[in-house]
Amino acid sequence: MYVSYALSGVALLGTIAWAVVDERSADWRAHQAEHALVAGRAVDIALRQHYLPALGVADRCGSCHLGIDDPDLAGAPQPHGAHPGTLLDSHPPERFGCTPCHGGDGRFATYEGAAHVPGPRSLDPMSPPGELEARCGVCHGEPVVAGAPVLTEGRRVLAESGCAACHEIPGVRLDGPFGPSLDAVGAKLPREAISGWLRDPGAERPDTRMPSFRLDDGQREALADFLAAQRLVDAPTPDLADADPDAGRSLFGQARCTTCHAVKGRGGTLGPPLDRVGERLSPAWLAAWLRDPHRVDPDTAMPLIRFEEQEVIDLVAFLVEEMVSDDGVAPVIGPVPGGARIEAGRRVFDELGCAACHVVRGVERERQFAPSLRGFGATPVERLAFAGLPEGTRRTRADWIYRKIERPELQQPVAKMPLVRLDPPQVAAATVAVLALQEPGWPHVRAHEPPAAPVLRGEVGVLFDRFRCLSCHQLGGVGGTVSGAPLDREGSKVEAAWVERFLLAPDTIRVGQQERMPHLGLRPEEAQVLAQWMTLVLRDDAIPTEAPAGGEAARGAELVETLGCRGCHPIDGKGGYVGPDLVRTGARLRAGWVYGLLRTPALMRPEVLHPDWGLGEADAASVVAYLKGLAPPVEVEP
Amino acid sequence: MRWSAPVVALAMVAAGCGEPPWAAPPAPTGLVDGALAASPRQPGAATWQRHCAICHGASGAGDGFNASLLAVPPPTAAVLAARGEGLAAAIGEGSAARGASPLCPPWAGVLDRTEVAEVVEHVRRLADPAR
Repeated sequence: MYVSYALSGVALLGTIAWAVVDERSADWRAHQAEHALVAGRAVDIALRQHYLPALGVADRCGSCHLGIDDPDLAGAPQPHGAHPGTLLDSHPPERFGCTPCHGGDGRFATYEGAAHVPGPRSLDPMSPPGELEARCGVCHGEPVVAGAPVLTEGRRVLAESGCAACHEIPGVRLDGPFGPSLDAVGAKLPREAISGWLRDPGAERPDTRMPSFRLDDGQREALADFLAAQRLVDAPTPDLADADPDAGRSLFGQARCTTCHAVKGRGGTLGPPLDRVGERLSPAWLAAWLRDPHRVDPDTAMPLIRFEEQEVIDLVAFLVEEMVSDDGVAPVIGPVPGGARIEAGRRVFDELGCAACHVVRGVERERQFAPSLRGFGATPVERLAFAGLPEGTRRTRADWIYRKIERPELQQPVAKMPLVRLDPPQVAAATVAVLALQEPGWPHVRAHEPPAAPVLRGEVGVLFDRFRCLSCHQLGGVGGTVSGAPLDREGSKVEAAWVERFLLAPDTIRVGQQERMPHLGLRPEEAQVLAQWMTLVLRDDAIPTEAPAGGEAARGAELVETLGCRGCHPIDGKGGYVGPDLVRTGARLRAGWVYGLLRTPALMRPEVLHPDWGLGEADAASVVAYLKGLAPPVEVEP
Repeated sequence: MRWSAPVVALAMVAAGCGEPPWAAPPAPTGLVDGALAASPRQPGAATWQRHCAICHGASGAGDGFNASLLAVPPPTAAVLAARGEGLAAAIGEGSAARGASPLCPPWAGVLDRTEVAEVVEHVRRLADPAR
């Protein structure tokens, strides 16, 4: 009896003693003692904590990382070093803590307890360096996050690979179909070419956005039959006997097809490259497409370009003659396939979810049928299946997502997800972007709701649709990126007469720029409607209409030379080819806009980053007076 | 009570036998780290490409598409890097402030200090790829 009392007394004392010793010998005390030596200043030995109930944060990281805000300790060994970069200026730990950005368990003031590395007990270990930017993305939902290049690239990859056609992805909007309509694909490509494309789209066209579906032979041939039977547009083959390929070549240049289509590796990427289009696509389909692309594919990005019938024939002749490989000839479309395989092909089309990207008449468009990625970045690791994944895969969310994108076929049970052609850094970036899809319910989260396409009513809406202005131009945060200047403030920027003339006969604004506005063949009344609408509606009241009075043209001319404007802008043909020719700028741009650009370039053209000399009011007004006097105003021919 | 002193002493010895607390084990890297390490980020490269390469050339050879149009040929990355510590100020103030031609504008109002510092780093990398 007494013995057991004695023993339990000893055990109790021992436990208390151990607790005291453990506390006195805690890692953080040793770090703090050492920090006094490293930093050369007295350190008050005590636990340090940031307690932020709204974030669910009680971070004691500062108990060991004492030097994070001491610039003298940049590069000092951990845990004493300063926080790299300038992020703490905008994210002070007093407001944000540490673990919201780094992960780990901030309640513990030990290396293992805080989950610096994944351990058996750590639910949310700290992110390794490559995955760190995923945590930026939890709060910063916008597509481009300054200071987070991997996350930004990942969001671009997710958007441009069309992941949102099958998955719901917060922050990624996919309004139209992601791939082309297949209603007329049977008239566009011979059946064998369709089958060859399905075998491996990337072999035919390395830059295609179509992923690889790992079809077996039976699926592929059935699908090829089904697609070869889609001939909604079945135009007769044009008679090219009287066609003039040379005239077609001139038209090809005039219409500025290479703004969107590459030839021999030079040109835009909005449309497919045209190098072998003459031997791949049937002349009949090409002619139908050039007459009116919207009849063939109502959702295409290609504008209507008003070609005459003879011009269409000449262009087709040019494509068939020159846009071919050495011994290439125009393809011949065979008869419509028949038989039971068409029905089987249609089932394959349904099962694989082809309709998520492609329109085929009579097939219901089912989008985002795959699991939603909302909150997917926080999926518990226990719910992810690692069986079958190659060696070197850690049991982490990041590695699972990486493998899922890199090798979707390894998933058990076998998933439908196709293989998207990405290189390893792109897979890594996409992984980071998926990891960022978390909804922690913090007060700092800035969810990004991508803007919807602006609704343009009436005649303007018809014209914007017909000429697909937003395939290249931005308006309301929506549209293409071929043009670098959004249209939102165009009415405050350019003179109405200039717009009207430019729409009728677009000329070169920047000599050094490859992407130029195509000749769309607008009618005078159409150009007038658009020019008037832009002048009235696309206005920014913050931009003055006029520059302040009193500018002296002579002083302006002097400034243009001394500031070095010629470094980028040509004047009378002398000078750089980066910016627009200054001789014609006066007729194009409104005085108030030029004045604003000179005074506050970052406000006027954030996307161009015009240099900022800090010009005063009088100097800026003088430059405007000089430029406006250089060229006579534009006159629109009736 | 008489035994507590030796127990505490023993415990302290045991605690002292452990690893030094700051010898942190290296963090294991994942697939993302591995893939990103294959193409290390080059700070300043994007800014160089956007603002400088037009004249100074993508590789810093002074052969950007705009170079041949200028009255004064743009210096190469090697010449720029040789300016040492003064390069950041030159980028910020423009070439005219240093008594040269005014063809390179001041970028201080457009690029922040971090961006300028990164571009300087990139110029040095271009001048000496071994860096």
